[in-house]
Amino acid sequence: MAMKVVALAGNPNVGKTTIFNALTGLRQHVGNWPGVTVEKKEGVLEYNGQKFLVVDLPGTYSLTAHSIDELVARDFLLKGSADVVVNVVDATALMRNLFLTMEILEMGLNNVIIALSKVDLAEKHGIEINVKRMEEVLGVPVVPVNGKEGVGLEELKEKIYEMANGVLHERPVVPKYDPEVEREIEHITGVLQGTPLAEKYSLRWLAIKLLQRDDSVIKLVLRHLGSEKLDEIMGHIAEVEERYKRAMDLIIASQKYEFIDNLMHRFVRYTKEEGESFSDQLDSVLTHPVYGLIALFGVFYLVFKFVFVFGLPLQELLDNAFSSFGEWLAPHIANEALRGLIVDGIIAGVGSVLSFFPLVFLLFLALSVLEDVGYMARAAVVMEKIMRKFGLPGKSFIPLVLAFGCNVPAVMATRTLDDERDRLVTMLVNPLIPCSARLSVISFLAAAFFAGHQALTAVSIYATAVLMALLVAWLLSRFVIKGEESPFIIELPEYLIPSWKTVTLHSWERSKEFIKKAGTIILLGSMAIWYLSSYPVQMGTGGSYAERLGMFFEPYMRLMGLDWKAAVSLLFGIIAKENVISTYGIIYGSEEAIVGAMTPLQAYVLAMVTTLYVPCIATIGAIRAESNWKWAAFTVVYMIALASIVGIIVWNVGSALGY
Amino acid sequence: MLERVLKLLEEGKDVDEIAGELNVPREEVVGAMEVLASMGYIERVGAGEGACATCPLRNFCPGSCFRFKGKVYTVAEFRLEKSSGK
Repeated sequence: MAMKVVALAGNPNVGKTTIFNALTGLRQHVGNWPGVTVEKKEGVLEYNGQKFLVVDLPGTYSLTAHSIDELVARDFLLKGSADVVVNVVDATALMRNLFLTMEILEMGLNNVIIALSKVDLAEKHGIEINVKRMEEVLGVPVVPVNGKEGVGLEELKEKIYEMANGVLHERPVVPKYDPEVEREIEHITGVLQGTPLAEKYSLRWLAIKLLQRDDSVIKLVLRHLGSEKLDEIMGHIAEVEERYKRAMDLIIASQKYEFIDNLMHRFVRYTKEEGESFSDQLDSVLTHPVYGLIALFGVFYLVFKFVFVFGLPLQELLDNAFSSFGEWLAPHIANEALRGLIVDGIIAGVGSVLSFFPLVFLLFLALSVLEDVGYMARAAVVMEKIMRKFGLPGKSFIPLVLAFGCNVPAVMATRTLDDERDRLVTMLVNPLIPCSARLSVISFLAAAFFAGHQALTAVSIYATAVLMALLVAWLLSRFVIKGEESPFIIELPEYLIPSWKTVTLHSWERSKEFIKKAGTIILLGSMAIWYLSSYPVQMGTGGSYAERLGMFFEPYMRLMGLDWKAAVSLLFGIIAKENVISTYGIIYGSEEAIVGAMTPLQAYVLAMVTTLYVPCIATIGAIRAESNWKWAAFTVVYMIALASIVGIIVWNVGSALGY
Repeated sequence: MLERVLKLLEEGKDVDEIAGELNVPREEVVGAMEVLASMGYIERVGAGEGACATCPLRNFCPGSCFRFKGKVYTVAEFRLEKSSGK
């Protein structure tokens, strides 16, 4: 005898898999649903000597067939493939979960059992559910279940057994709509009466789906009824929509929600006082347009403070280690050119960048903690509110957040923006957001020149860059690429204590890429810089390629208080921003020499210009690939202009103030 | 409630504001948003995983992409066009 089939249906993340595992144990098989790449999990439940095939349906919020998951779940239920349907309902979000329950019951199924999960959590939230009353109101058995602790599982198995063997019967409730909608359902049902469809489907369900303009149901009815009858039905529906002035699918879904709301009043009681929780109070500060911004600066100041306080001693240690290694190695290499390349080029260049690894790791560690605690989402809300005021479309928020990591994927992420103008504004503004590569330059200069004030220096440069991005976005959206604002909603995650294992692992994953980059692009860049500064004659004579190149730009650099060395560094920084540090490392040989050669004001101007000038070559390429050469060139030109203006202002104002 | 949630979202209200205005728990507003998203009235905005997966720098990207906890939605384009009378 074939096994009876039990289908598990429910919203995503309601504990369906836990219940599936608890029912089937290790007797599971994972495959795909026929013709689609949706995972199909099956397992065997044995109860009272009878075996049942348990099928875990894809998690869905409705059965509207907008997605493959919904279609798979709906077809399975519609074909009557299940002898018992266990609908897992999350007690903490009853309305949303019962929406799916109503969609299932509307199909005309009378073999549904509700497994009520997360009841304990719901009670903590002040949601008290009278299960007995819920059973009476819904007309189906309801079993509170905790899959992890095994609570309610025996009762659930018993109900499954009884339902599958025809011992348990039910009279499920079905949603009722406005009289006008009900009249239309009745009209369509009448038209469908007597057709072969009546034998296979609930006509009420078909009528509702036709009203919702469900594509697959329209095709099904067309096959059985012909286009003339179908056109008549659809004409009727258009008239109803005209009267309501809204789409029928939304009207029906909304009325179904109201129906559920009314049902819930009969078995749900909210016991908790409607006061603000600590989490709500914290949110009201952290997402406030003013306090939230102050908190954002405060948090990032503390992040940089943490990074510099704990990272700098380690950075100095690494820097000394690389210097000592170079000094030790030099006498062992007889060939002068090779010695120069390895000691003065590779070790000085790559070493100066690599010595910043502790700072990069600590920054990622701090950011990972902020992400896992849930703060970054709050910071995002603050930024989004500000961005909106500056004319940036809501959707551009994600690409701009990504840009703090790296501008290249951030430019590519602008694909999520449907509007071409929105995409362009976001793409063009994107390189102004300081990526993590620029962080090492900012950290280097802040650490070397602003002892005791490194965090403030770094935060001021980040803040200026973000302000510039907002300003440019405002100018572009106002005068160059005009667009419309789109509402944007961020659903905040709960505050959580981070798992140190996850945080450390993630920080390592991110920062190890920094080492990889140092071993590839920075290594090649350091070799090239060493060559240019050593040929055709040694640097210092004014005849090396690097000096000649730098001298060409020096008059322009002087406007910002910088010299030819800054020009060469910035040129190499176009390949990868870290090259700015490695170039200085090669030209000067040591951090002390750099500090002796520049004033703090010059260092600040250099950090600011490095943050704002031309994006790295990979970002320029990404902008070209995502738009065209014209916009890539425009980005380069406007960023050079902007960096120059800011550099000149900072230099002149700083000089006038006596710095 | 579903239509009211959609209307308030279109007006740019956030989850807490909507929960306050409709006098329902926050979770139910989030639930309504999930249902509206499944119906195509609001859209979930991807947090860049796709962009990172196809990024040419993914093998040596410093810092790669940020993890963004929390879900981001926007109102579907056709709803905006409708409300702006296009």
